[in-house]
Parts: sequence; C-alpha cells; structure tokens
Amino acid sequence: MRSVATAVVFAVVLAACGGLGAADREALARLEGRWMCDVQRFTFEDVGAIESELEARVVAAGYAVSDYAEFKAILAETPDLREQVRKAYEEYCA
Amino acid sequence: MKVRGLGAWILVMLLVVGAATPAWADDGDEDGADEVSVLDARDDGADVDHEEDGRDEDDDRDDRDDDDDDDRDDRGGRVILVSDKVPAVTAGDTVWISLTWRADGLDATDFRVVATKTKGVDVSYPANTGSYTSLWADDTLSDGELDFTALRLDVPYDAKRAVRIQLEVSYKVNGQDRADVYVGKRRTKRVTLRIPVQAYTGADVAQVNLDPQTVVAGSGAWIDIAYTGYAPRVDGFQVVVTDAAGLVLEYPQGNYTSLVHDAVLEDGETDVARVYVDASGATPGDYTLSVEASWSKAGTPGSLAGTVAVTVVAP
Repeated sequence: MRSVATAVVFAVVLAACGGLGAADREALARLEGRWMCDVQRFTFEDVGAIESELEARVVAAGYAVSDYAEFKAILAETPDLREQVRKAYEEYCA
Repeated sequence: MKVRGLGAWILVMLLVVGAATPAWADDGDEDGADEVSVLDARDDGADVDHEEDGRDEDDDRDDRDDDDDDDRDDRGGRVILVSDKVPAVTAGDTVWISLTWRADGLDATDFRVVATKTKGVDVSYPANTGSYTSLWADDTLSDGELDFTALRLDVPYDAKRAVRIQLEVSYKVNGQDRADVYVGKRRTKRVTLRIPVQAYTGADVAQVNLDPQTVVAGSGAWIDIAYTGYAPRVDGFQVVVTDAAGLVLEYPQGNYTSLVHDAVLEDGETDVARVYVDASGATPGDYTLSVEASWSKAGTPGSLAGTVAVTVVAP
C-alpha cells in the first residue's frame, strides 16, 4: 500500500503530462473493477500478499506499478473513469 | 506469501446499487430482520444454526437499532457496502479479508472501519492505521469510487461453523461526521458479517528434504531434519531419534530437539530440527535413523514417524 501510495505522488505529475492513453485507462479500469470484486472473494496471508496479488495483476495486464499509480491518481479526479470501473465491476461480479 | 482460494464460499455476491440499476436489486431483505438470512440459506447448502454460530438476541437487536429502511432520506448521498459476503476461513488460521465499498453522491473523507463486536474470532488492523482500518488507496471514497478495507482475523481451532463480527463505519462529508452505510437497501450504522469457518482436515506436518546427509568418520556434524507445516498452526514441536542405527547422537536440549526458529510450525512454513552426529568411532557406510516428531494442535497431540539417511564417509 505504501509503495503504491508513494508512486501516486509522482504519478500526479505524470497524469498532468497524460502518460496513459484512453485505451490504457480503459484497460486499467477493467482491471480495477475486477480487482475490487476479487479482493473480497479471497483471503490473504498478510497485507503484503494483497499488494503482491494486485501487482501481479497489473504486470500480467502489461503495465507497470507506476502506470497503475498514475491510473489511481487520474481516477481520483475523473468521475467518468470511476464510472468505467463501476461498470467493469458490475459486469464481472454478476 | 500465498493467496488462498474461495474455499467453501459459493454465495452469490449481492451487488448493491441505487435505483439506477434495478437489475442488481438485492434479495428484498428490507424488513431489517436478520440480514444474514440469505447467506444462511445459501451457505454451502448446509443447515445453519444461529445458536451454533453464536448469534443471539443481542445481535438481532443491535442490527435493528439505528437501522432505517427508508431509503428516500439518504441525506445527500450514500456509502454502500457492495457485498457483505466474505470467503470462508479455516479454523486455527490467521488471514486477511477485504470488504469493498462505494460512494454514491458524496465524497467520504477520513473513512474508518472498526470491529465493535466479535464472536469467536479476534480482529486486528493494518499496522499503519493501528486501531482501525481504512481504504486501500487512501482515506477518501470519492463519489462513484470503489475501494476496499482489509481486516485481519485470528480464528481459533475451536471456532464453530461461522464466526460473526460487527463493524462500525465512520467518515466525514463536507466536514460533518457520518456513520451510516447501506447494505442492500437497508441503511444501518452497524454491519454484521457472518464469516463461514471450515475445519482443517489434511495432514498437519510433513517431513521434507530427505536427501542423505554426510558426516566424516572420526569427526562430527549437525544433521538437519526438515519439516513443513500444513495445518494452520502446531505448537510444542519436538523431534527425537527413536533408532540411531548405532550412531552416537547428541541433542541440543537434553533428550530431544526442536525447530531452529521456535517450537511452532505454521502452514506454509518450513523449519529444521538439528541433531549432532558424533562419528568419531563410526564405520564408514550408510545409516538410516528413525525419528519421530510430535506436536500439539489446539491441545490435541500429533506425531509423525520418519527416517533420516546419514552417510559416514572415510576421512
């Protein structure tokens, strides 16, 4: 959590520069929606295991942790993107 | 660190949404009565006895207190627990579970969740928050945002079919304190989670790394006897050599040895017990020592017989 949070600070700057394109944001919104569903379906050994699982998903989707941090920073400022996450969650968690 | 699977959890996740998405409507549990009744009915097809899993009249009364079935008065937005279903946990285990939340029509800041009542389980929080848990990304749930909170559960071996915890949520909206959340269509200030418990039924311990170990004749050496834990936890772990095959042995602790790190073996943990082989008078050759490990699991003794291969080589 702390490593992602730290990356978010730097990602704010990157977000201003528009590092993620629309396709990337859409892909990460799908990842985020699914993650919000799956995280509640699993138990974890410790907090680090939660972080590791998230990071593994980000990498498997072809992104870096810094990309995800940038996405989270954009998410906080973009209602439409949050709506995309919600739709992805609803589609996946049916 | 390993991630656990769904275990015995097969419940349909109730996705709580406001009026905009009626296709995801809840189970119609609008009367403020036992909010876990749907869970009970679907929990692995097993009969659920509320008395057996520790629910009592106080739980029912607490759940009805402060409940408000009138969802017309949402005071300018809602914080929603999108599902009160959680995965099953194994008796004797310590795990982290998560709950996913969503804000509709408001920005909730200083978001905190505290377990105010627990039955049959100990609850603790992430180290960085200490006395409560908050959202994974930060402490703010923005309008339309999904985020989750994590809690640690210590489930005793004698846990019944389910354990229950009651949670209270607090947050601020425009600086004003609020504590109401929606579970389904019901607004409440207390969220009760029913957490299914499954008994551990596999082997407690296994002896591993059985390759022969070498000791030079005329000298001595420590040999390792390695074990991996499978049960959530065993205590008081000891190892004795029941047949030294003619070799002279010494224990670090009198007449037995234990694991190097401590006398506890947890699931997924591998540790070693050590015995000193004095080969000063040993003839070169292959020796098979018989060993026995013993432990206690929730007060119940367990044991495992095994062997250790030792090769005494000429100097």
